[in-house]
Amino acid sequence: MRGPRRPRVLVIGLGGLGSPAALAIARSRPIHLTLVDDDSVDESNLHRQILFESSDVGRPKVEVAAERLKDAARREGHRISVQSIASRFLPANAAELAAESTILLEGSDNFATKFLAADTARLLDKPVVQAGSVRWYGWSLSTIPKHTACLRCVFEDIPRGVPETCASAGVVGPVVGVLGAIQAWSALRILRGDYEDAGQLIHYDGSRSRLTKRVIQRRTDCPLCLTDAPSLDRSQYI
Amino acid sequence: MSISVRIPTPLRTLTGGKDEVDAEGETVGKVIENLEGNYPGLKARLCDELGGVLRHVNIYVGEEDIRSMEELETSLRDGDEISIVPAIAGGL
Repeated sequence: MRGPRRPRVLVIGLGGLGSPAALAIARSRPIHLTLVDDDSVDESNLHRQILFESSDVGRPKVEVAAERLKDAARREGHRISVQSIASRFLPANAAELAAESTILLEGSDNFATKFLAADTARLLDKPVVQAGSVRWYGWSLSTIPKHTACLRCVFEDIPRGVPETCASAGVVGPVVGVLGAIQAWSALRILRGDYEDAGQLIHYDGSRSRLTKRVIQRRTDCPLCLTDAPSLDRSQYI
Repeated sequence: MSISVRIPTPLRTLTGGKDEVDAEGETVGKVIENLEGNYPGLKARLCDELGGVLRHVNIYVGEEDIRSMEELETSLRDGDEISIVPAIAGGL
């Protein structure tokens, strides 16, 4: 007889956030991970993307990650299942990729994907854990749709022009690793039914070793919180 | 009236690397004007051309988001601490 179905985590991005987050989750419990990333391992990734080694350079991240995550779980004495999707998370495939997931964990490096993940989570009524990190600083936010503040309550829409990304400003490996660990911790708490930290914006300032949590109120005019059927039209994410 | 303002990493290039600066002002808007006088360019990273706070920037007085208070007209008391939280996307 089959036991209860394993929780299914959709990991969007296997960079400095997604790598440590996926590893921590894989080691924690039997689970199914769906990994979405279209990138290959680059030598410049290795100091922070802890699933990969120099011998992996040039291989698809999702392929290498699946091997490493299964090995890591096996060493902990349990098994996980992993599905590798060598693609970007896009408006055209977002709902399909997330449909079977219990929770979304988004660790991409761009605002378009972050807002798409938030919108998809709302559309499918699934929790989402998101984060961003540049230089010595980063944030994480867990959202329970319809119950807690979402990414659009906090940052409203894709910023134009000014904001930095790790590609333009650089990222400090241990700092983004802390944020990835926080994401894993948040996702695991939600999976066990503990929603206490959902809706809290967590900041980490690695230059001062300061971790701050703020309860974010749902914005009364948040377009995402006000709708039951957000559009995932690609024009919103350009 | 002295207000302490925490500067996030992306904006520290404008404050000479300082992660916390002191400013003067009775409201959040006046503090931003004061900051602009001491650290030119900072206001443009916080406010749009109409003077409102940029949509992807969050400003807190203590633990309170000024959007849930009186935005830039939010009154301050001596010793208040302002935190600026911009959207950042990195994570790769």
